[in-house]
Amino acid sequence: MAEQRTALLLVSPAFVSFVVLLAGPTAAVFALSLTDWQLGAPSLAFIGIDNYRQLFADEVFWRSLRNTFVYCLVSVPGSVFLGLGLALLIEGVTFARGFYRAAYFLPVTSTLIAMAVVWEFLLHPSVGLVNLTLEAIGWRGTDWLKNPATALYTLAAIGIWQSAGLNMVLFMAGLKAIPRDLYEAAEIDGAGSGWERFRCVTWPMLGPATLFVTVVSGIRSFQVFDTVEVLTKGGPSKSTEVLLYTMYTEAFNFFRTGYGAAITVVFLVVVLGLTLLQVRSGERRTHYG
Amino acid sequence: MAAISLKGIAKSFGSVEVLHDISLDIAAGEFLTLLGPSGCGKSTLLRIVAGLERQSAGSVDIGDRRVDALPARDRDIAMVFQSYALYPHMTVAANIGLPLTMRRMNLWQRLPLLGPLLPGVRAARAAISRDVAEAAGALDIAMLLDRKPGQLSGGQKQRVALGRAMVRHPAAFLLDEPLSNLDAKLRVQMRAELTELQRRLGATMIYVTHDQTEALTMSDRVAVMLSGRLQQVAAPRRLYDDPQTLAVAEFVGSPKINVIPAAEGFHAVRPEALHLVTAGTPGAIAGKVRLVEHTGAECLIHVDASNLPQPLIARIDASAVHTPQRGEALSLLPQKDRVLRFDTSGRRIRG
Repeated sequence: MAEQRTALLLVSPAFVSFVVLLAGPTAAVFALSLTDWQLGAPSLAFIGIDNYRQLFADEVFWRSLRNTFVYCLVSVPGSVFLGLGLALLIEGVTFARGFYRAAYFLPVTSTLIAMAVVWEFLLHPSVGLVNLTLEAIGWRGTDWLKNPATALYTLAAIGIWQSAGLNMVLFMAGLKAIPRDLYEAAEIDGAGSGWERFRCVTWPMLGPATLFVTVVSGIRSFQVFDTVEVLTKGGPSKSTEVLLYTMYTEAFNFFRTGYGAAITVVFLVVVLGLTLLQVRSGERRTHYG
Repeated sequence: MAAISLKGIAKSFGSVEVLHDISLDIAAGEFLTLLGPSGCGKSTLLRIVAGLERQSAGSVDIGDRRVDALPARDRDIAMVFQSYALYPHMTVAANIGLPLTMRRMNLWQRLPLLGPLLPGVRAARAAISRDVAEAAGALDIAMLLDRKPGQLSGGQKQRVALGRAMVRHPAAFLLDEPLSNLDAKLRVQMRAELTELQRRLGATMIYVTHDQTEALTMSDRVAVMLSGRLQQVAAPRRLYDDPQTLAVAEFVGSPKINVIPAAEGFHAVRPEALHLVTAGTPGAIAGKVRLVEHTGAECLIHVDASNLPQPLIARIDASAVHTPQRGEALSLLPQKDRVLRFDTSGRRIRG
């Protein structure tokens, strides 16, 4: 009996913090999503799934869901492969490794809000470096953030720039863990060329790292919000309206907390589903040691 | 099968010289072991033969080819690593077959989807499967071909690594401490199997180990290396009975040879050449028993002799009429014809 009490006592801090910090808020959000509560309102009423019914009938919601997926489909592969490429290149050089590592990691450490100003300037239609460079090689740029056809992809490119450094560091850790023997065995087996080394040893041995990097990048890019808020406010004509931005405007601009909670629940379900899907399909092809 | 010849091999890492002027000829079909403590340079020497490391001076011949300028894959050698170095994402069959796939098929033919559509690929794949099955059969792992390395025991992984080495019928096998990750029992079994395999294939093998039992039981000849220098190359029996230097005499043999300071330098006597005699026998060394170790068939007696810095160890038959007890006073007589004499620099004095 005493042992059982001790066990409960030892488990309780973890359990309490789990309830207070994770399970509680999630349950509260779910409960709120079934009400018509508005931020600051003295009363609220249970309205069942009305919020969801309204949400699924709303064109803006579907637009923002689709935009979020497009953003992910561009920025996840982009930042994963760019991170991998950078890691391989930096592992390949013998000098100034620390400098390159720090340089590419810088975007991760910098505040995106501040960096957004720099991006805004770079992307300026007439005096921005991007368009000036394009003009120099004979191409015509556009107003990247104001053109509905390019705004979302421009944000995705900024997302890639921002998270490639983190992915690079994770891949570098993965590369360090690959035993040298395997490369030597490949060398003797005749798989010593750069491409064969990559195909026979590096890529399969990076499996666990790739899975982790992909899942984390997926979640991070599904949460895209700050660049949208600072650079485009969801526009032009809702072309960069993403899920969290919709949730933010509904809940904090229009104070429709119940409705915002419903969007959050959808967001959580989608992220959970995507992550499970990635882990399931990835695990089958991943070999741990 | 090919002979291997090393001439004047030296290797430095920066200013640290790890191999000094090593010359060694290995006959075709010979099982030669490089034996030495860790850090003596034996693995580096093996890697130079393999082409994984470039020597600072000297040359390597495999068969009648000078291979100094050739990369590892063109030297027609196979290597077995201590860690087995199997590709974890490939099946056993693919692991064993990889050296053949890489050599018999070009880049396009190896492509996963397009490859099988190209002419000749199906026949090449079938031939590779046949060769893989043959190697697997010889190693008794045919039933494991569809598994991944993660599902295998240490001993099975070892066999797969051997299979990958065998399948190509290379000119020589290079083995870098291949048994040291196995448990003791399996190690003894694999030792016998590996020797048997080598005889059956008639293969040239260079085997690197720090374990003298492995060296003495498996090899045709043993090359003892100490701090980057080749000390002696000889058949196991010869190495044990007739070491050229005190260092070799001390490194080979367990328990260690007894070293007794003498006027001309040192006298060294194997534990089994020290005999119990009655007190007062001329030439006997008197002492007190410090420790008695029973190892089953025999008994090791550690004796503190009054004028020697280290205890002497005598090996006697466990079924001897009288087994000395701790604290007992006794006398040990070195067998005259088995006393090895060395000068003060550790070189053997003969005659």
